[in-house]
Amino acid sequence: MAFEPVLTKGIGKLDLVDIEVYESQGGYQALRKALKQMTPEDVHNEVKKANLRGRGGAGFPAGIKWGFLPDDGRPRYLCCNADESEPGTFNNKMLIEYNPHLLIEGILLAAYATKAAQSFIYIRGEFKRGYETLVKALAQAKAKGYVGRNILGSDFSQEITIHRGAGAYICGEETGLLSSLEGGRGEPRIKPPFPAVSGLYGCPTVVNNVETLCNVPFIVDRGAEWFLSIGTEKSPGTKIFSVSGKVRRPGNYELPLGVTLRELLEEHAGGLLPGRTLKAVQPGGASSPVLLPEHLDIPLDFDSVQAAGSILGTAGVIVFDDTVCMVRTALYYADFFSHESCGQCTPCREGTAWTARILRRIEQGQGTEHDLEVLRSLKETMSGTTICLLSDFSITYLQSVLKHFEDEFKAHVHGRSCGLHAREVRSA
Amino acid sequence: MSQEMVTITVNGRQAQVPKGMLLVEAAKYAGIDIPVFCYHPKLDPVGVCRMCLVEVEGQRKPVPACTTPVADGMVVRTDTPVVQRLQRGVIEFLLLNHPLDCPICDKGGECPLQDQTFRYGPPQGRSLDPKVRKPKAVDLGNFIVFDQERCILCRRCTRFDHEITQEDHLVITQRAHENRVTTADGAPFNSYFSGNTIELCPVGALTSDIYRFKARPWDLARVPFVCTGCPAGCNVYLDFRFGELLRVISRDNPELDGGWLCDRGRFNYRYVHGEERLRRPLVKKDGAFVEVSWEEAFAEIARRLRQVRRDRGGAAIGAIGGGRLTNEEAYLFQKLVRAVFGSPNVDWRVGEQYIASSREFPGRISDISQASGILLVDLLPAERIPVVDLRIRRAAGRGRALLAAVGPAMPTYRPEFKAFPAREEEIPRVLASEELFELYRGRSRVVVLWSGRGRAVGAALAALLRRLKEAGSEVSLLIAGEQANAWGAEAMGVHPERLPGYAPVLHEGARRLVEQAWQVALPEGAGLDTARMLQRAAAGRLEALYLVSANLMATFPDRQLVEQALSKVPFLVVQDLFLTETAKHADVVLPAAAFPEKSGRYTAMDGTVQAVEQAMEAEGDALSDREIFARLAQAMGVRLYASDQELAWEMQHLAGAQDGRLAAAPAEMLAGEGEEEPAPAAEGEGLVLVPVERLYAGGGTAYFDAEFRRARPKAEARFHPEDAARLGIAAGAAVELAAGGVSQRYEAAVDRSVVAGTVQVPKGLFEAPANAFAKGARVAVTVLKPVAEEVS
Ligand SMILES: Cc1cc2nc3c(=O)[nH]c(=O)nc-3n(C[C@H](O)[C@H](O)[C@H](O)COP(=O)(O)O)c2cc1C
Ligand code: SF4
Ligand code: SF4
Ligand code: SF4
Ligand code: FES
Repeated sequence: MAFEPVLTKGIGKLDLVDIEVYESQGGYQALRKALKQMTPEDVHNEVKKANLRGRGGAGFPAGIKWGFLPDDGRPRYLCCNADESEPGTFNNKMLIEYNPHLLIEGILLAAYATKAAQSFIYIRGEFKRGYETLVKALAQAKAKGYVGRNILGSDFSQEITIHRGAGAYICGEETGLLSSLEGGRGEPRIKPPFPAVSGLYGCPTVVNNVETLCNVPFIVDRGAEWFLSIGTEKSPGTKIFSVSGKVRRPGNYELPLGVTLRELLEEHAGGLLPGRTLKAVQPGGASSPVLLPEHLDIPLDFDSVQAAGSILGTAGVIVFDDTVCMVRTALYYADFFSHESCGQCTPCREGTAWTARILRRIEQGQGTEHDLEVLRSLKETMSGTTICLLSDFSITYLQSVLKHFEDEFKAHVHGRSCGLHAREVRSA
Repeated sequence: MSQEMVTITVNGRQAQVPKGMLLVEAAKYAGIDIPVFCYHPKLDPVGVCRMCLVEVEGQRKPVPACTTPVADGMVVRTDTPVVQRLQRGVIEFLLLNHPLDCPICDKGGECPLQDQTFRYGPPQGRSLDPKVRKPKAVDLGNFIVFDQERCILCRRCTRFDHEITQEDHLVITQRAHENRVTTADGAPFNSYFSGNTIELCPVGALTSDIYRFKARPWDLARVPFVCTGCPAGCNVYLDFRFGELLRVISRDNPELDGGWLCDRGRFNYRYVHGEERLRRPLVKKDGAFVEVSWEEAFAEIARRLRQVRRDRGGAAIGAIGGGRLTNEEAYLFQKLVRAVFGSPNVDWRVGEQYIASSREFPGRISDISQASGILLVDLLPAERIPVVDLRIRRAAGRGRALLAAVGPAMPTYRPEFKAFPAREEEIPRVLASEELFELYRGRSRVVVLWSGRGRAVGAALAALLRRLKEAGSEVSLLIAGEQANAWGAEAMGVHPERLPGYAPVLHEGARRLVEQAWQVALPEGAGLDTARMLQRAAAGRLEALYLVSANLMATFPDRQLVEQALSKVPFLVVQDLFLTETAKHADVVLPAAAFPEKSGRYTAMDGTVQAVEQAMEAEGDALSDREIFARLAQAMGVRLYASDQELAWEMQHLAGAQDGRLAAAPAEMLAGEGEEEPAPAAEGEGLVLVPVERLYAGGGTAYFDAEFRRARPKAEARFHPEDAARLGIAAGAAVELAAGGVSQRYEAAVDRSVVAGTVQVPKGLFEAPANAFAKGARVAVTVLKPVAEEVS
């Protein structure tokens, strides 16, 4: 039975950027419904009931997060996290570029439910096309009275400000995002206090991912029961899996949460390239530990993936086949994190650079057993010791490949080729 | 107010600690030290170095003790294998690319990174990679040299510069391992407070250009002292090696300096050993100075003054100075003049300030931190009392205190403040305005800081403050002296109308008290103040002038008058550290001791009296002012004081101090006794010239200091942007200011903080003495060269 996509329906067939097309598909009906028939509490309750788990990586239920906002007279803010920079993750990009009104409608509903005074979209600086699309869509929505004062004749008013980042992965971390949005360096802040209590300009703030927010109009329109009927009991709804790496048809696939890895890869992503065998899969972006071929039948939902020793994260599914050198993958990520750390915390600033230096040496055949020991030990000093999770992220994948592909590291260390790629020219 | 206490347990030891206190501080109550790098008690915590991670029961992850407030029942462990492993880890990370310059590092021996590596670090480093090299000697500003390799990115320096000075010169740039400390937009780090970052830096990354590579800390002999640069009275340590003063650092006094120093106080000390110090007494013979012995110098002065006294009476002698002396010296100075010279003419005032304290509105420097309203009158605190300005910035910056400024030049602050630009003669009118009164009315604690200039201003201030007091405010008036011990000099009676303890000089009872104590008859009548002494001298009606640390050519507002007086007076004695412009006119020059070379007491601008003990031998034959006065008196046949005890008794008897504070001047002195100077006629064409203080401009100590000199401001005239546009002046242009036959060349600068219609020039600059112009002069501006030449 072919699954009917929700968030991505019409993408590739209809020009949903055009507000009239979007409206013709039922767009802005949820907003109309909420403003006419529902109180903010009703909307909030529906989202809570639907157990909409955050799609930005942590899977934290949005309805519960919204409930943390204190009611103390300070203005509240809503920030849409559109900084998507995780390697192998590109579903937000698609939603923004091809279905921007869905996001705008989702933001409006979330703002309505949380009684936000003002909304912001913090969009990754490199998303030039997405930014232009959003600006255009927002102008249309304003012209039609969906954004601005007294929306659709109600008491509800909302402005949405689009802010472009300047190219830092760390600005996707919610408090780094807030620092950057305020005009400071994109540096995460110590939690607690959490943004819900003290966020943008010290006021209660909700930060939600693009995909999370895009689900809200459907929950409002079709109800929590409908949403709960998709996916698994604890991970309801759909998820857009971004599949990349060694598959025949990389791309975004919206499927119910709980779809098996096998189905995703074989039925949707076209399977492996001819003649290749599967080596490993990262199910949730750069930092997710590897799953192995033996895990092909696990359901891709938050809890099952965790039970298998990894994380669903951003659902950026990265596939490695037998031609891939795992030392190189580790080095690639180490370089990424040692470039993207904001640099505040000693373990992250120094540890990411050290990891990369060691891996580079190992990859070039100049590593030692001692290096492998050091790399393993870094787990203890780089996880759970810093302000945000980037430090942890930088080390989790490495630890998993050190464990599962130790032989490849040893092959590099002991000077033999791992056989998978031409060795870089060695320095003397 | 009693603080709510909670109970915590650290490593099994229980302690009662104030609720909400940061764990890192609270652990000390249990006798446990938690190692830190980024945390500093005077800065807001940021929790970046991760050295202070500890385990707290019920928390999944280790928590930073520097950002975690304690809660009741908290159970903390700082000694578990996990914590120890994390501490080793952080140190290992910090040392990965640290150069370990310890053997040649200024910080070696007093370096938290060394000490904590020793105590908490791993026994061995594990890195096999060569260290990453970075720039070793980056000049960040006038005094700070940055070694980037040693920096551990704790951010204490940038936080200080952001939170405490609110100047934001220093920033962190780049990400990840490319993080580095630098200056915003590459502009030099020339904060008046830059040196504090050296002390805050937990490694040897920020170093003093002057002290760099000069000594090993353990070889330094340390003497507690008080900075004599200004009346803020900051506490310092002087560090010596083989009798040479190598470094000045802060000695935290929460009531005064709050642990900070300004760069003038911290870096302007090498003049003490400077080539240009006067080391022998000089006597002018046939127009040229000749070195003589002290005996000869004293004999010459004694001979000349006796002669004057015999022929013309003691009143033909004038004596000026005292604001840079210790209390004891100031006391002896006026005693010397009155009892030995037989002259009533003695005055501490060398510039424009006429009063140094106010009994009616007492206050302490620390009151500023509690103030709900702060008013600055005719004062740029950063230029005159810099460290006090840090309190003002903090109080205003937290939005707690309303801040307003009245005067011809406006200060610069990051927080909002109300500006009331007013020419000197307009200030009383502003002070009397309802607007100003309304602004402060009802504020519980109002602190006014004032320059002490202008009797009419003093009277208007007194009226305003009385009104505010009646309206329920607690009111303090702090007067920032032009010289460090203005208050002491005034209290000790270095004043033509006041005896020690402010007793009116014409008051019979007061005179009797002094005469009994001194066993001499006081000279008749009241004395002449500084201006009148100079006028008399210029008119040929004063026979001798004795100047003590008074470079009147630079400090007195009317330079022509000084010049005439000094050239005209038949006998001039100058007692100073350097052969200043003023001293060049002298017949006898007496080399005085510099601040570390003498003992005594100084009075801060809130009356706090602080004693210091001589810290080094005087250079050459220089003598302390106290000794000079005593020996001169001896040469004139009088014993000025018998013993230190007797001197102390006499001072206590006549000008007693209480609780470590000197009494302040009685109300009538503030209200303005004596004649008011005629208001300058400021009508007419041209911009009003406003000479403003610049921290590094004034004084021989800056000019004659080979290592500080470079920081002195250049001759710069600052214009308001509108005036600059109207007159076609671009920043950097060479301009000439002219008025009343005087003309001077300046480099133009354009600055929003300048009051429109005025042009600001530095006061006290030897190269372009602003006091050559008449007070309040309107100057014509000519552009000489549109844009400054490149300095090659
Ligand atoms: C290093 C780091 C990078 C992150 N980047 C993103 C990102 O690009 N987009 C995103 O939505 N969330 C990102 N997150 C997660 C956010 O902090 C936050 O949890 C999320 O935006 C919450 O939205 P959700 O609850 O809707 O998932 C990142 C977290 C970390 C630690
Ligand atoms: S963990 Fe890394 S990225 Fe996160 S705040 Fe610390 S230094 Fe910055
Ligand atoms: S900063 Fe400390 S550890 Fe570093 S070189 Fe200097 S003394 Fe040694
Ligand atoms: S220069 Fe010193 S104070 Fe500044 S960040 Fe580096 S180590 Fe810290
Ligand atoms: S001292 Fe606590 S993190 Fe630096």
